[in-house]
Amino acid sequence: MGGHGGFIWSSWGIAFVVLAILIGVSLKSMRARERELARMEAEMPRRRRRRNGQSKTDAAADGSQ
Amino acid sequence: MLHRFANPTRFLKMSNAVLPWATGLTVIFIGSGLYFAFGASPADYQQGETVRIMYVHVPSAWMAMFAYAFIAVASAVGLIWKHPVAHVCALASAPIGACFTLICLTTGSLWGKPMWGTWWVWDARLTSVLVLFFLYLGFIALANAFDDATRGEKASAILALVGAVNLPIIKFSVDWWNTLHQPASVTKIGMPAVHFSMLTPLLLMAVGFTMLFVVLVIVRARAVLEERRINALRSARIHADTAQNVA
Repeated sequence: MGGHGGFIWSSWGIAFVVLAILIGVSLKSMRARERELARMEAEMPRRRRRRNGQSKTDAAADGSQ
Repeated sequence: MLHRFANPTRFLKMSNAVLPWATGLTVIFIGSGLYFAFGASPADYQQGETVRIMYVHVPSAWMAMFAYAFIAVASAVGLIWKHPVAHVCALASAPIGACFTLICLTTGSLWGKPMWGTWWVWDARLTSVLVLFFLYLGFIALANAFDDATRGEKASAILALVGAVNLPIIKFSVDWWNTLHQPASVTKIGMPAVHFSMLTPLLLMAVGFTMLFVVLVIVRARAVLEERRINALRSARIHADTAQNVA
């Protein structure tokens, strides 16, 4: 590299590291949110079911059914 | 056309279709750019091997300006037409633009030392790019400074529009003032002053970085939209629980 290898490889190295961190952080953040959203959406019908079940039980306990 | 993508669900569907293609193109263009940059392009007759820094420095500089122009346009669309996805795209682009500006500044410094004999000079081009970097940091800080995301979006959008005045200053700084930085050689009127053998890796890397920008904007915009959906579900759950407790 004509005695300038340090400058050339440092430039490409810094660019690679900065872009790798940016890509890594972006993908990690997206996947974490996808998992969290999937978990919350999967929980929603169960919560509704549980709530409906609870209200039926409560109603039965009250003797209204 | 613009309003079609104002719907976050439609934007997510479109992004799912675009993402694999943009990722593939990023790998192809950056891969072939690296091959030409290190294997198939000659050393410069004046600068020697240090010309290889140009293949990362110049595309980063272009991307730094392109990303800011994108943010300014997206902010204007968000402010004028209340386009929610436009604000999200602006927020998603800011860290990407900041990273490209950082790469531009550091690689420029590493190129300047062997060519100019100094790491840094306070000339118009270098200073205006440093101002661009601070504008990116200010945009990110302002967008996250408010509890209410809408207020943060508006404030940062105004900053982006005001800061857009820096773009022509960066572009024409080498013409308006006496600078150590060289004038435009690729985008000048008429023929570029760069030989075809060096123009090829330069343009391949530029297209590769543009594709990478598209990929990262989609990934980061999806993360922002998903976070908003999570917050909406959380507040809906809290409201439902409160209503149940009151009943």
